[in-house]
Amino acid sequence: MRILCILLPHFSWHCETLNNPEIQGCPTIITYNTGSQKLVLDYSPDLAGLQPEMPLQQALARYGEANLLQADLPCYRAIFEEILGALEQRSPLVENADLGQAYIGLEGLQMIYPDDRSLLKAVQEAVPAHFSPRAGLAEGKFPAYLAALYSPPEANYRILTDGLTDFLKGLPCDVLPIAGKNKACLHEFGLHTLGQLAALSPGPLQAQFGPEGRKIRDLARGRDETPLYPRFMEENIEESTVLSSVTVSLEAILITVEGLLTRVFSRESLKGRGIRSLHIWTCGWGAQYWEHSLQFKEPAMDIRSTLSRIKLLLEDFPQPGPVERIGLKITGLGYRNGRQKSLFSEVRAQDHLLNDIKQLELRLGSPQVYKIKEVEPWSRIPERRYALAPLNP
Amino acid sequence: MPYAELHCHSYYSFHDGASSLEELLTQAKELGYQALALTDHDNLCGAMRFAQVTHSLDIQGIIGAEVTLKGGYHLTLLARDSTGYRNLCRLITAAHNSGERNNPELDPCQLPEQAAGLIVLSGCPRSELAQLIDGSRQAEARALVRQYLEWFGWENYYLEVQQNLVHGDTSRNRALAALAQEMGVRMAATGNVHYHIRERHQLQDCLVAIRHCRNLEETHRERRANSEFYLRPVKELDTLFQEYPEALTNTLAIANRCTLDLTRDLCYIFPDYPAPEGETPESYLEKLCSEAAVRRYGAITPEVSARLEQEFGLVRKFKLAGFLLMYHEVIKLGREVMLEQGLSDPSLALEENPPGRGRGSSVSLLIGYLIGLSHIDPLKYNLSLERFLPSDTMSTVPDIDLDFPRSIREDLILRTHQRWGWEHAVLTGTIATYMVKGAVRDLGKALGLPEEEVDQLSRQVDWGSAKGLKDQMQKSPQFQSKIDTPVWRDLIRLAWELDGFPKYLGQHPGGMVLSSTPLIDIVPVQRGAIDGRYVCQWDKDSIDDAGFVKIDFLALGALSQMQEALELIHRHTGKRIDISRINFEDTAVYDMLGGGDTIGIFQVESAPRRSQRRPPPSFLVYTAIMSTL
Amino acid sequence: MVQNSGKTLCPGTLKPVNLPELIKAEEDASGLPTAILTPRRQVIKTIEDRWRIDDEWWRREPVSRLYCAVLFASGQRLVVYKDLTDGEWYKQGY
Repeated sequence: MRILCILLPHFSWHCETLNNPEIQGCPTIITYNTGSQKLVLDYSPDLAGLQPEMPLQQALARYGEANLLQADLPCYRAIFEEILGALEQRSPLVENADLGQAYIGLEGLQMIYPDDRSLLKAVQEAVPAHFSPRAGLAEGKFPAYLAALYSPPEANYRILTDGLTDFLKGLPCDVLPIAGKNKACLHEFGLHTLGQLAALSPGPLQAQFGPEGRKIRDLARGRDETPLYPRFMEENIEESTVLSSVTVSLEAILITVEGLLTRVFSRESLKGRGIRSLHIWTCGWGAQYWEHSLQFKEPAMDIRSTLSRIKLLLEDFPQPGPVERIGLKITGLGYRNGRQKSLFSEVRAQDHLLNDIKQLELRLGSPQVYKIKEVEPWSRIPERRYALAPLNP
Repeated sequence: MPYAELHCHSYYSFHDGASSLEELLTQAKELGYQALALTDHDNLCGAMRFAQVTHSLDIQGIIGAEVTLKGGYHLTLLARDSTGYRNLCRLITAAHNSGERNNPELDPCQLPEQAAGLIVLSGCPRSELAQLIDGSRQAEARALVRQYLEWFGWENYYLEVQQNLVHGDTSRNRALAALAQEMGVRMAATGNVHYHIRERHQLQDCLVAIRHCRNLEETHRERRANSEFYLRPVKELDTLFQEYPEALTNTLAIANRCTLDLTRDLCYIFPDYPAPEGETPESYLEKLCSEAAVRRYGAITPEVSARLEQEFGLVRKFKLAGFLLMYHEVIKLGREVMLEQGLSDPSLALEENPPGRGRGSSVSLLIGYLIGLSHIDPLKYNLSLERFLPSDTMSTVPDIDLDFPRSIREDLILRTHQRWGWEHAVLTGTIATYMVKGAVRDLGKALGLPEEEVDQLSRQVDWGSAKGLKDQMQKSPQFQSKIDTPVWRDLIRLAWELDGFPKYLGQHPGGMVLSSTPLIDIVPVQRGAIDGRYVCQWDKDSIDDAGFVKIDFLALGALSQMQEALELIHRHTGKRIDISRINFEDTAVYDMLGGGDTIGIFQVESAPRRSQRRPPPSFLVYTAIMSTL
Repeated sequence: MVQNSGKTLCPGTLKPVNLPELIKAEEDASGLPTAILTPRRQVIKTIEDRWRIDDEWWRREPVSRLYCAVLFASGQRLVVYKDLTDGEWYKQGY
């Protein structure tokens, strides 16, 4: 399938400049915590030699004078959600690949956008120019991504039709979406470009890297069979609040969460339904961010059952610091689960059941309950194999 | 891309193939096929005819067979050369000799002994390999392939892929291709052809129903899934096998390696005769004739000597001494049977009381008269040798028909099998074919037409070609209105197509083929319906084309009566009559014939012959008159 | 309560299962489908398998179908067939 990749380079930094325009022109590093490690999420475009997910210490070793900002992930996600929403007005098949990266499926759009340029124009209009979007159009996600990544600065888009092999052959291996140690391994073997990888037979790569070896070769040849996973539009309910005072007390947090749940369950849209999954986040006083998701095996139909699960979660995963803001996003709603009982477990129940079936038939004038009977299960004509026979009590 | 079809069934795959050899070859030629292989089920009944038709149509023909292995699995064998053909005949013979009579089954362990000269294709979906693949039994499939590679070698074993658009073909072919790649074996694409054009699938469905003695409705599982088992255009094959183009090109490679020409490479040798020590077959025959001539004529007169010299000259020229001595041996066996049955006197010479009677042009041979082949003195009746033994060239083996009394014939056949061995003396096959009555009965049942009506129609129609069924129904008030009605019109159309189709291989009433070399190297042999009898898979025409020496042992009821009469005379009078020396001018006999008193007398009891009043008292003249009626 | 007369209401009410459903399809020159139009246009990525059945030619309504197992770009699979007697396309589980 032809796919359009939209890349918003340095998306998180651009999001920060929306609120704080003064950081433009200043070397800035945006950092986030994962466990006890501090890693680089994003940085200003003029800082060469940095990479996302690089340890902060390493980044600071290069740019000790840079401004440090704590990542506000909910904010960035909210902004990106809006952009994705705008893109979904152009095509129903939009995949949220990563923050600042999306794929759009072009199947069936030829009636709306007669050619590629009109499509690109429409897509670029959906993305604010502030984010300097780049677009790449190709057959498959990886080629589309590379086309976007290496789009010419004057046009900000690249369309790959013919000449894919020539385009790919000079690109570095580092662009491959594989584990870092595998990338290092490739370089150690003297394989630095996609062209070198494409020229190899699959055997040696598979022998060295296992199943990922085959993937490496296919991607180096511009072949990416990964399907597009479009966003599933589901009904979300979001509630959040700012605490009156910063707190570390679990009780206070729980009372706040209870309040949020009261608001959620009072909504008209939730009537008769329960919560299947929710996402809870907190934002701390030093912009410390904490988030977790909860799945419910059976929909939680009331506040009490939901709260008890959240309490367990908060106890198992303590807050990193004092909490200032709390938010809930209900991501899955569902109806009360039915219970399957056996129809024929008791003799008397069976008599009642058969009697009810007969009554139904008499009332409506024709058999209502059928059972599947094998007629000619070996037949080459499918509709001859089985038939529904009335369940005659 | 050119193509050779390597798996094709003709109507000699009884009640399975639905096209004649001519139809298949003509269509193959029209489609531009380089070659066509005939691979009927467990038989080579059509092989000789096939070889001749390929010559006349100028298309390469390959002889092969689809053999049934133990367990009911199928395997396709193709003969590359005369060695391969010999082995193919032996394998088919072995298949028929094991298991039940009409269910040949070859033990796969016999394959390696007869592997030389054969190319093996792994078989259709009913093959063992295909069934292992369908059952996802990969390890066993690999082991089976390794086994066949060991037996036949890498260059003579191919995995057979068929794409007849039957559900399961595609997945099976993919698995076979993967197996072929894994094991380094080549693939060959075949069409599993059962008819020459798509429309014939209807007749093929009927044949399957007939074979199972049921109707079309009841044989859904036995019938083929669709109408794709015909000779398809090469372009269509290119599309069907586009994932494995090498499977198509390999068919040509196989065809190029098959050089057998049955019209040229058949290794049949005239039967030889092991003459006594110090003698050659010619000298021994001369000795026998000299001794018999003295007994017959009193001495070797100049006339006898001149005739014998003439005949022996031709015998030497055409190397017929062994052939005639073999006949003599058969007559001697017949004499043994007569003596055992008490029908002859051991003191009598063979030629005085021969067990059988010669007939036709062979009675002009003096040698035959002297060694007991006939009871007619050719010198007395001045019979010309030219018709039986031409002096210039002999295009076919001379035909000697012998009539025996029924009682002698049955034992004689068994005795001949035992004397030479069933591999060297076999009965001629005969192939019964469909005519109108059989076609109506079998097709009517298959189509599910009312039994009573089918029965009535089959009794009403006259004997003849099934192509005339419509005309015959026109003449019948009961069936006239049905001609254009559904199913009945199918009956007419299918009967037309079925006319002349082989029904089954049977035993010729009396033909027997003798050979010094094992016959099973030349034509497959199978057990006959009667215990102890063995039948070859060729009929009279194929045997004549192959140049076999064939003896016809024909049973004649009249001879049985005459034998009985001679015995009664002997019992009552003590005298043994030599009926070759009776008075052929007895006027009392001619008066009786002239009076119309001929009931029960062979050849003269029919009405036109009885109406011949006052026949002249001359045997020769009377014979001439009777032969014109 | 409705009185049970004891008689059967609908003798012979065997209902068929897996009946074919009529659909619209686009096909190429060779008669193979390229897109299914019911309920919406879906382009076929590959035809994974095809098979044919010919049966009951002796009856009033012969069965002659060319089945195709198709794969769409979205990853969905479907079995459709072309009725070779009337040229219509149907979908049916096999």
